[in-house]
Amino acid sequence: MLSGVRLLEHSKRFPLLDDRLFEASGYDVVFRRGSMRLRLYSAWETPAKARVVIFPSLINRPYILDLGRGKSLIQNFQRNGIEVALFDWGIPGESEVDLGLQSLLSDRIRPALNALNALLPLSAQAFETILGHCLGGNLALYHLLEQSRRSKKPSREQRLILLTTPIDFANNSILNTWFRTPTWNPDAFARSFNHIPWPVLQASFLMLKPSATPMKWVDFAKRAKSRDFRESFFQMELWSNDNVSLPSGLFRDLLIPLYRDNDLLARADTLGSFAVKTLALVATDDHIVSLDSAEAVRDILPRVEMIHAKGGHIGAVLSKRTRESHWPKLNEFILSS
Amino acid sequence: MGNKKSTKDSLKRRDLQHWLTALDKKVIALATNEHVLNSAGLTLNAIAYSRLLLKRRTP
Repeated sequence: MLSGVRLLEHSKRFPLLDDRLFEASGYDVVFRRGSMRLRLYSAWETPAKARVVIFPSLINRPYILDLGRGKSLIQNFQRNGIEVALFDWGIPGESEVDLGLQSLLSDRIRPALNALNALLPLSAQAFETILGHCLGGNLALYHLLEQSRRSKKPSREQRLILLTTPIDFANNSILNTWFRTPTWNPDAFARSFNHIPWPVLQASFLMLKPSATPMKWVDFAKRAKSRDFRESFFQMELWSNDNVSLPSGLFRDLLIPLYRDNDLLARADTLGSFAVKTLALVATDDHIVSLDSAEAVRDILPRVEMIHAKGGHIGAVLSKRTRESHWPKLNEFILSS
Repeated sequence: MGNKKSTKDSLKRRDLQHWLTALDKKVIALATNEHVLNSAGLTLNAIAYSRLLLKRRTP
């Protein structure tokens, strides 16, 4: 599952680490194409009351939404009678260098969802919600745009949850400033790689707050006696260093239009015509996706309810406070008629 | 005694945090400086075009 964890397990230095800390729930794979898999996590009651289809971030592993020791968003849904389908983008191979946005949407995501609906049709009363996490939220929006381009009217009301998803890329955040450097040619940069190496992406995130790394270890030294803290720390530490290199085709088709052309805002008219009911969870102390950028979802979609969660990019989604006060709101949104 | 030690620890920690925050600001100011960015952009382009050339030459 996770090479870093395996390495640590074999070293026997961290006997507390086990797979249950990282992928807490069992699942079936219902569709596979290339490195992508569509996983299905059944609801803990049958028939399922609703279904949520999760688009995780493309540059991280999806188990951040299924951490053990009570931190699994997926298990929270299952417990409440919600069936979960999750796209595991996998680790793209050499044959997937040119995997672009259009190909991902029409040759992978759409057939996977068609297969899921054919295999396990939802009852007429049950609702389906699309949930996008971070960059997965952008992908979910492009999926909706693709659906509308194909003039395919959804058979039931569309619902969308966006977790810390950047929408407006025209502000002065550091990542935007870097991306808009006039002398830099991101297209040549993308073409020169087969996959954009994950350490490049990781380094750019670390540069956003250089002091975070030493402070994290200072904090660890102080609180390492607590087993709960240790486990949470290693869950985050191993996940945040277990990244995926992005196919250069997706860098070209997704990141360049978003950062350079502010593509989602440019499509606000089309997105605004969707009758999609949206719940956006935005993080108040996010140094990766600024609050302004996430809140701009109000400018592109008509029916948006917003939750302001305290914490950083991941803390706002998984912290104890969010689990207690905001996860029930997500469940309520998914289950509401 | 315990209280004194923890107050001292917390002061040390606060000092470190202030120092690191100030360092953050300096690093970020440098990393978003127009001249630095333009030079970095040109360097990255040079690397990218060299890699593309090598790719084309490699069968």
